[in-house]
Amino acid sequence: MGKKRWEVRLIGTGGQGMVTVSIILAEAAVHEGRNVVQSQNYGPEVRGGHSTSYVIVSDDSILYPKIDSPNVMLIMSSRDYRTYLPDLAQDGILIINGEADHGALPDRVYAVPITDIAHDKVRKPITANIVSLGVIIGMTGMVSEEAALEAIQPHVPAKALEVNKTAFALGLEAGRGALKKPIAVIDSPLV
Amino acid sequence: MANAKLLQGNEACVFGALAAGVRFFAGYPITPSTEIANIFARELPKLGGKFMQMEDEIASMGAVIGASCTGVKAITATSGPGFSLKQENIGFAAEAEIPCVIIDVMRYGPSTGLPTKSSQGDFMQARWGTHGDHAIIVIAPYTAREAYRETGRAVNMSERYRIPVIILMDEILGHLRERVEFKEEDVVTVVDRKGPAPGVPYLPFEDTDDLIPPFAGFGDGYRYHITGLIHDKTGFPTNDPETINQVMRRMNGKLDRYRDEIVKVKYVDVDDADILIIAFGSVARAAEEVVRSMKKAGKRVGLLRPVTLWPFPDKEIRKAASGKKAVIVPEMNLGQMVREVERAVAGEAPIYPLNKIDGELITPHEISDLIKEIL
Repeated sequence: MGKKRWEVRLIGTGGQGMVTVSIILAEAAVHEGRNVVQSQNYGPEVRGGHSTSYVIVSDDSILYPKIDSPNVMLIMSSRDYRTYLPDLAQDGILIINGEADHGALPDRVYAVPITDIAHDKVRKPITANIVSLGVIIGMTGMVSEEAALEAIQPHVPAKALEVNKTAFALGLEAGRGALKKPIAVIDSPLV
Repeated sequence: MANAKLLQGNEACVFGALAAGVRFFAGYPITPSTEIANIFARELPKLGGKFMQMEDEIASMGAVIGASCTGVKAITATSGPGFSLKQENIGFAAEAEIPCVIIDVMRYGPSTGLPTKSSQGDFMQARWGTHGDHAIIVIAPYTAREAYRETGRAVNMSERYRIPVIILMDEILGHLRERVEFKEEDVVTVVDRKGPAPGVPYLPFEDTDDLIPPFAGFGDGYRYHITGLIHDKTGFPTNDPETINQVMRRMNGKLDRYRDEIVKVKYVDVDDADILIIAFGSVARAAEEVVRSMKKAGKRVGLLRPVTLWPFPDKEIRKAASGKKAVIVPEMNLGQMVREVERAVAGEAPIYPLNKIDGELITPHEISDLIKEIL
């Protein structure tokens, strides 16, 4: 296996906090001394528009900042996962927010009730994005739990730190052990 | 700034400018440059500097010129539509030789265009957006780390030469965040403009040997005139053809005199390459990935990346391109830099433009597909 490279695509709706998740993930990678590039694609709307964020974490240097075939993809919005499935890298994973009935899922597609966890267990629906961060890290081990917690802190108000830590822990718990097959890390980019 | 950190391209520009001594920002928020205004608003007061949100773009440019005239290092930031609106006052800064830096984070145009989509459509506007022959410098970084260093260099060049300097970013570089670890070569030194010599009468547009007249700040005790009219060495308007010719050749001549100090080009595997890619800004990031991947596949592809776009690095490009099997010029526009490349290469190698105008970054695959076609 070559050097580890993760290519993450987060699909959400403006206002869900998925850009923040991508920044936290990127900062966690920096804390661990890895190379990282984070970017996003969105329309002119502040809220409600389509928002996609990208994070590349690699032991090599990273120049091209976009991702064509992510090995980790998460869909927070209600968009149909089948639209995105063809983009997934071989042996990558697609995590969908499992609040709705998705029916039987193909291999490599995982439904995790992210919004329900935030609503019912954390009792703070606004923390759904931090739950999703926990799920990603729980499933992939892309960055350490400690690095993620360190990166979360500056992005949440001090009085909300504990509830976000809870959200992260519940996300981790939901993610760990969910994986049915190992994820192939991307060997080298492109061409 | 020894420790590694996650830095956004726009953010890096701000810290580079502050390191070079910028203490004034005036602007009008516009996507995708708004973070620059936000961060200056937060950081400048801590350093005793001033931040002004102005009523519009041209007024922002006016405020920057005014601040610079008082001896303060001044900067503004905008995007395509605002850059168009600033052009009249950019011309004033060029004619009156006012040091200032303008950051243009390019978005898709023309007009309102696509506020959150990237483009390299301002390549020509950055050089020729204001009317008349004028001296101007344009710099295009390609990473957050380089945005820091080059914005510092832009401030220094503007102060040293009394020439407005444009930092030409694009939406992708402006908005992306990446791990940056600053090293020794990233340290921004501070260059101050030359002031008047004591004991001699002050001529604000004196025909000095170095072509750069000393600049006294308003309030420093000197009484002089600044105007957008063509002026003589006292700063007052002139209609005398001989004086007009002399003063305009001096001002424009600064670019020729200091050309080799200003022009910066980066080379990746150029010497033994069969195919040369010439690209700047975010597109150069895709191009450099192609060079790396092609190398692994045993193919000899090189990249010449102009960091200074204007003055255009024509002699460097001609030298690097001569005898190559192909020169590929990928751009997020319908072909602006390629015209300059054609002029520079002057038939010494076949040139292949690669143009993309769908708002998305040119991908490494698109470049490598063209290379495979040529090979």
